[in-house]
Amino acid sequence: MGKKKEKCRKKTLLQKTLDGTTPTLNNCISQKHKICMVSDFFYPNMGGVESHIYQLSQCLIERGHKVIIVTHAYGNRKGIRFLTKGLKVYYLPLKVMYNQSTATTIFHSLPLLRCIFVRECITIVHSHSSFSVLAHDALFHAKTMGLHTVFTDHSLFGFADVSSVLTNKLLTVSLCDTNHIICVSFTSKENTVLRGALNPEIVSVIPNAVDPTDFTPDPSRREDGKITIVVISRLVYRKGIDLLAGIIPKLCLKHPDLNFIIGGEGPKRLVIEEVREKYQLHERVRLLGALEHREVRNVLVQGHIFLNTSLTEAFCMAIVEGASCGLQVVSTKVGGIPEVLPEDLIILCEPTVKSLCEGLEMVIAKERAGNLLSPAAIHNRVKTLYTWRNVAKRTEKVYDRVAKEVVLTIDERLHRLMFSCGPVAGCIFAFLAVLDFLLLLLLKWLVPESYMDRAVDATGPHGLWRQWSLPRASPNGEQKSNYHLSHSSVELLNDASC
Amino acid sequence: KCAYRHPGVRWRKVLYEPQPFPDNYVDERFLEELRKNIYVRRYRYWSVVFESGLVAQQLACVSVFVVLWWYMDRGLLTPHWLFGTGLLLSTVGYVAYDLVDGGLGRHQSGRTRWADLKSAIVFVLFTYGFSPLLKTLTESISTDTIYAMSFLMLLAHLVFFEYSTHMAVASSSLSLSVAIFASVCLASRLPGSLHAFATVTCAIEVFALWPLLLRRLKSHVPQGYVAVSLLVSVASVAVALSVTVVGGVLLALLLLCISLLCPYLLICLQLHKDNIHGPWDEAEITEDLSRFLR
Amino acid sequence: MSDEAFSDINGNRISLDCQRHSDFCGEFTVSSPKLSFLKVTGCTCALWLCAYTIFFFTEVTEVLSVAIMLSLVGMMGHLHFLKIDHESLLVIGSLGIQMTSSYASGRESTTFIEMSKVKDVVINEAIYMQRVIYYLCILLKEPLHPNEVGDIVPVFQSCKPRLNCLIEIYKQCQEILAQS
Repeated sequence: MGKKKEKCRKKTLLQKTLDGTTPTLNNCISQKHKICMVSDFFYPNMGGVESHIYQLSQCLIERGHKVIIVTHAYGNRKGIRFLTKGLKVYYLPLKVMYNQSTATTIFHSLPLLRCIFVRECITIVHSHSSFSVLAHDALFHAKTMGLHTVFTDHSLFGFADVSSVLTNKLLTVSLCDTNHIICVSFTSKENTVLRGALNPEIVSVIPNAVDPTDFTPDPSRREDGKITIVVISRLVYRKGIDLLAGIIPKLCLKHPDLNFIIGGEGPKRLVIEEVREKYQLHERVRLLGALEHREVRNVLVQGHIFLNTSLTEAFCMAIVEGASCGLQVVSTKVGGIPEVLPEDLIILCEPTVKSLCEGLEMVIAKERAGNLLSPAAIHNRVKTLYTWRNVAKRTEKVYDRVAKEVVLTIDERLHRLMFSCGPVAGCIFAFLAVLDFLLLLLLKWLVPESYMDRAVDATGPHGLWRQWSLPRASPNGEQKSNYHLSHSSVELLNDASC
Repeated sequence: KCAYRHPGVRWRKVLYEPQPFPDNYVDERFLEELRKNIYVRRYRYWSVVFESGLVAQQLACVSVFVVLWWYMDRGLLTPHWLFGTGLLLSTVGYVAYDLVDGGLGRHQSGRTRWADLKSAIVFVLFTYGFSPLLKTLTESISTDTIYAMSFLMLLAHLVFFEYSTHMAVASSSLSLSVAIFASVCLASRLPGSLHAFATVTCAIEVFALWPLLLRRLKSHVPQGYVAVSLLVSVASVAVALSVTVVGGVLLALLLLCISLLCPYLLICLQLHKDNIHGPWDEAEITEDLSRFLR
Repeated sequence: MSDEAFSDINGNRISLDCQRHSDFCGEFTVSSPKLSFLKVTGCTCALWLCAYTIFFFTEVTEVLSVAIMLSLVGMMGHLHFLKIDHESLLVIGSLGIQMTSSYASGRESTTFIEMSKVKDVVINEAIYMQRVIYYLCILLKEPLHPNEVGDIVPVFQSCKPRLNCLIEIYKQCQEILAQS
């Protein structure tokens, strides 16, 4: 009787799993991963990729995964650090070559990366940004070591000039045997699929997110009787600063109550300064220089209109931040920008001075007539659109999918390299893959995995962070907190063994 | 693909609303904004030949200059004769330069004939005064080095010459200076200081003044330009033949190749062009934004 | 009291000797393996062979004598300055911490840190050569701000025991530190 009952229960369970229709069950099965995020770009460097990695890692930790980050040393910041929630960051001592990207010989990072992957028991290596050399190196080594790989592309590339032809070739080689690729917008997906000659089925679109609590509107900070346009971007050619330099005098001469606030630094600052000089607009065009992340909100809320003049953009977090602060957004219609905000929250213009001026004047007229949406209304619309929790949930699905796939063995990988990356580059990189494999064998012989201590977990399902809060979390320098954590973690180990 | 088809729900290319499709969903409209070869220009053969003529032309000029130098080196040509002919041709060219556009360019620049004459006299006097110095300038350098250097400099002149106004590597000042440098090098190997003076003036006429006249001819009297180009090319081949037969034949082939074969190749290869464009391309700023600054 | 076998980060066997003299005083000695006879012979032979090859081609006899001198001086130098036989950590609760390294020649170098300067003893991670390892270190107080951590002094620098050994030492250190 009892036996029968058990059998019955077993059967229903089996059916449930076979159907796979019950989403709750699927969620329960969803395993916990040990993820290593790799990129050259991480704090203290500031930018979209950096905050993406940080926020995504924090949300994944929240969901019970183990996450570590690997990046290169930034000046004095080298070695191993812990951030909030026990997020461990390895700052590897690698030479920086250009634009915070490391120099590569392809092989020299293998010993350290292998050591990290082994001691942290990594199952998935997630690289970020196609500009990052370290990210590509890590992908290459992870594949040699037989780990699952995911790559997130944050930028768009053209196809016309020589430099993009070369980088696209490298991307093809790097991605041809990567398990899954994540892009931040549909345009970015199309671009990456073309650049990497990929199967679009293995490319997922997961947008960036913005922390809505960081960007809340505050209309009282606006100047009465004036209309303020805010621009926050790096002052470089790709951000269309030349267009901005054309818009400023045209609109300022027409509307005496118009002010500009420009936040950001870069080589094109000179152009803006020249325009300001020539038209005597010192009081109406304020240049704030480089802004820290926490200052951005305070600048944004002073404005009525957020202007973005980018010439190319994969996702553009800036316009979401602007909208989240309750500003009416005016932007150029390039790259993935049309996908980001609903039509009534954004005015899209062609990337010309004329079109942007028309768009801005329309908004100015609306503002004068009081026809614009209220900041609070815009904020409420935007705040649910892009959240990091959602990003983490969708990324987790990618990890689940990837974990089920098999990693190519060395001969399959060579085959893939030689037949999908062109005859010359394919053969060269197949050769390099063989060398990498041999180097790995040598390392396995020199330093067997049994000689490496497994790292004490701070995050993850059995992480120590959850069980033990820091005794003294010093707010100003997380530099020192790692000692405490190591300290406390070892104490915990004692408790466990006793 | 079809497994994800939801009846009645159409996929939209937007990120701001949740859609009932997986993140790696590929719609039929994927890559629909992909465009190919939208900026390809259709070339007409003869117009390409017309434009590329300037390259052949400059090559011909360089070879004429080298042959004239060789004549002087061998004593077949006296410096007086070279200078005299040069002066005569320059005067003719000077008059032609103004006639071609009916004095419009002169009117615009506001430069007087007196100023032209003054600079010409100053230049001639200076070159004449310094020519003995040119003679001894490179005595300590071996002749082979001089020849090799002249060759490289003339090559650089050809590479950096401003064949059209929107070339990336072109630099008219650089190409002129390397040509003058080459002429000074060659002049220093001639027997007398008067020879050196004649060679340097000749170089100025060939490399600085002639291209100016030619460019104006090209824009105002295309037929005249074609005729003059043909004349110079034929003359260059003729003088080269008088030195060495092989050299002359090679030069003739090279000129033909540059002005006839290369344009043909360009047009043939256009068929194989495969340029992809789409929304991810960096937008180009087409307006002239400098007016806001000046 | 206890003498246990552990291994260092390169897989060599090392032994840990923990002696608790009292509740407030403990001594931890990590001994690395003795210099292996085979290794010494190998190095010497290699050096001499090289010297002999040079001598064979150049026929300068000084090469041989220089090689012999070099091997002798090198051996002595290695034993005296490089080869550490054992390292010990003496923790006296009320007094301080003393670190001693004993070289193979018998030379000893000792560092003493007063307890008033010591903030804590912890296990930390570091990137060492092409690896990431755990090590035991003493945290010193910042002289001006006693609540902040100043310098760190790593211990057992030459033996480099693995984590399980470090935990053993760490536990006992903490016991002593807690009681003082």
